[in-house]
Amino acid sequence: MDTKYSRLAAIIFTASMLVAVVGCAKPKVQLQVSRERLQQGEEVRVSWSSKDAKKVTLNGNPVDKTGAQVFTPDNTTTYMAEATRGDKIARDSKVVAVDPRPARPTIRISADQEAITRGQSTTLRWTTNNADRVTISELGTVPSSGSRVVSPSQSTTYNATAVGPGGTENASARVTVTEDAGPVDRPRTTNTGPNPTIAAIFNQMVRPIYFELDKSDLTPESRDTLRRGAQWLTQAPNRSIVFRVEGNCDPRGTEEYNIGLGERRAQSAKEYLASLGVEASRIQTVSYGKERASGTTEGAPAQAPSWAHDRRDDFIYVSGGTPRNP
Amino acid sequence: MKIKASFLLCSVLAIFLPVLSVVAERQPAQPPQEDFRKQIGTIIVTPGNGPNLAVADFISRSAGLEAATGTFNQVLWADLEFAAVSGLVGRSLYPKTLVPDPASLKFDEWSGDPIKADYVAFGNLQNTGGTVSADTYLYDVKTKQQLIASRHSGETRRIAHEFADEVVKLLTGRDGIATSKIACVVGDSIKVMDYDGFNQRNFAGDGPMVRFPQFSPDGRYLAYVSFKTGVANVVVRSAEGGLIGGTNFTSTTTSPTISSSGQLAFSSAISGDGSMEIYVSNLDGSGARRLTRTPRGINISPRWNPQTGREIAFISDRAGTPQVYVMDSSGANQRPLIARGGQADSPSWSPDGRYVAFTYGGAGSFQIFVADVASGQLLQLTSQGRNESPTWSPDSRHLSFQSNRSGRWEVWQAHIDGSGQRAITRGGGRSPTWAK
Repeated sequence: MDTKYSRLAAIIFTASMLVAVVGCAKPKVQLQVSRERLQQGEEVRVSWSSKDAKKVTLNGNPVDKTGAQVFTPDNTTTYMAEATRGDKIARDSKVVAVDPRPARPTIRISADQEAITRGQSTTLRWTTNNADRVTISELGTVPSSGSRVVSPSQSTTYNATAVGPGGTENASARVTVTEDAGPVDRPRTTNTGPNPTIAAIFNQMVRPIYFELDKSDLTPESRDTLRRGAQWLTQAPNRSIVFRVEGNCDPRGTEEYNIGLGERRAQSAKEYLASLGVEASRIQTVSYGKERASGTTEGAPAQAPSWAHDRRDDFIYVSGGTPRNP
Repeated sequence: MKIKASFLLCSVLAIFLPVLSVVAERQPAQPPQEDFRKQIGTIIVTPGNGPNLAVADFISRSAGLEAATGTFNQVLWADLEFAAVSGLVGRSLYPKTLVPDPASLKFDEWSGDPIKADYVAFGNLQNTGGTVSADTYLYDVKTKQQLIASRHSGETRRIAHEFADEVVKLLTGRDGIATSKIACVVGDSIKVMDYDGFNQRNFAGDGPMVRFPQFSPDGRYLAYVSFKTGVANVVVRSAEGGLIGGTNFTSTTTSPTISSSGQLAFSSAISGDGSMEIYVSNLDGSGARRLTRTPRGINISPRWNPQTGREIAFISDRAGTPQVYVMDSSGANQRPLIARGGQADSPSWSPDGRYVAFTYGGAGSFQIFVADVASGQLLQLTSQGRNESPTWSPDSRHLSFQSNRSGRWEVWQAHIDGSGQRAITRGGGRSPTWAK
């Protein structure tokens, strides 16, 4: 059989045979890793085998001629096996890429006033890091950092959970609600900041409305809800209130277009409120698209999480109004 | 080898959808177009249909550079594989002789059986006063000519990317993408990273939630949407993070895009018509001019044609469901680019102006499609999981997009023919934008 033919056969069947046919007396070594990419903290098994070697080292350390070791590398590491026989050396190496371990999420939550009188409100504020999804009991899914005016009717612990690639963290804030103990010194209200009392009443008077799939038209129920809101918003003490309509979508559409659909929903409410005498200049509109959606089935508006609940306008007090006793 | 190559070819062809007709309203009859799949097939070089490139492992010439050399070899290989400008000859066939420098290169070993390389890249790494330097070479082993002899110094991944781009430039005459960058949304903030997902770093923070970043075609500016004031508004910064400007409206203002001449376009609900309309303004958001007029309609996702700077692709629901439209940047000549029912979103014009990629689907299932602008022919790029928000590589030969196929949104990449799909983020990622 001619040499060329046997070489060709060797190439086709095994790469290592090639060396044998060429007839080199060098030692041989082969190194394998169980995975070429892992996360910090995970293990990789490095195995090697050699032939015709007097001495084998792995990254400079003498090891058995054939064997395996498990490593937990902190950084991207090259594993190199070196087989020597006299002055002849063979090497084989593999690189194992190590991705840094995702950072654990952190979460902090606090209430501006930890104790309030029934009917008063306070602002919950929270910040998170390294979180994909943040939920607060009573509030559902919320942005990763933010604030929300709450007016619990009884003492409530708000449990906040941040979930991220690095795990889950919890934090909580408790708001104690006491009965009104008679006349108290009311804090002075300035024109600049939001007025918690008015915000709480606003939340009771101007309620969320819900939409049909892919629609931004108002349902008869939504019109009723908005009429009641407009009645309150057009009363003299409330006519300086500026507020924001926040449109939302369920999660089934695409991200960018859903910003448009959510804004259309906010615009529908704005347009109807304006037709009822609430000046358009008092109404800001924003769309969160599907950013706050949490439903996985259709469900019903009153039922969260659900798609029906996701497709809604929220109404958020921004500024203005006359302070009053509860 | 032949069997494998034709199998590859079949699986690539299988990705192509049947050619679909599109509306070519108000356009003169086009001369017969080159078949789209043939045209695309020449863009991505698969083994056997282009020159063969062998990349010998670089050799460490200083103690302690073993790890850096390993990284360099891995990055260079990945770059040249993803560049797909030549067939990469598998390492298992390479001669055992090391090639740290031109003196060690035996031309016949590389040009003959079984390697049959046209070109060989090789070199060595050394420690020069605390800095890693690579002496990098590219030889034509058939004509025995030196094509590149250069030195790159600096961070290991960076110098491997630089040499990869040097090789691509020499083989194709065009700029490579290995030193390009991608910005994306991770969680509620923007990160910028190398084109392969490594070296992720924070971009300027702007409030509790930012979305929809878009680089300018030259990569000098980044526009995005911030919810800082409670209302979504556009922010424009330099790529280094310096504030250029933005909008400050009391209704949703979103989807910024920057033209090659530095104009901004965005979608906003400020008209009072209850609609989202497209506007063009100065880069800092001043001097906004309205381009669309569809009361109670949605016009969103404007994207400049980066090649001409004179056309804007956008999404409009004026005819029912959201579809891809095109108009002149004056607002004239508004016409559908693709009209085939279903729902489209997030168009993206390739830097050479030839293609528009977009999200398309319905009923909760969305995929990335690429349209040839001249002929309107389409091909589907993805089929696994849900895929949205495509962006093009600076050389118009690759795309990046977000996919949830792994169970969460990550940024992925693919060649223009749909092959070579890979995730480049691991800690989540959405809305990629790719720039020089």
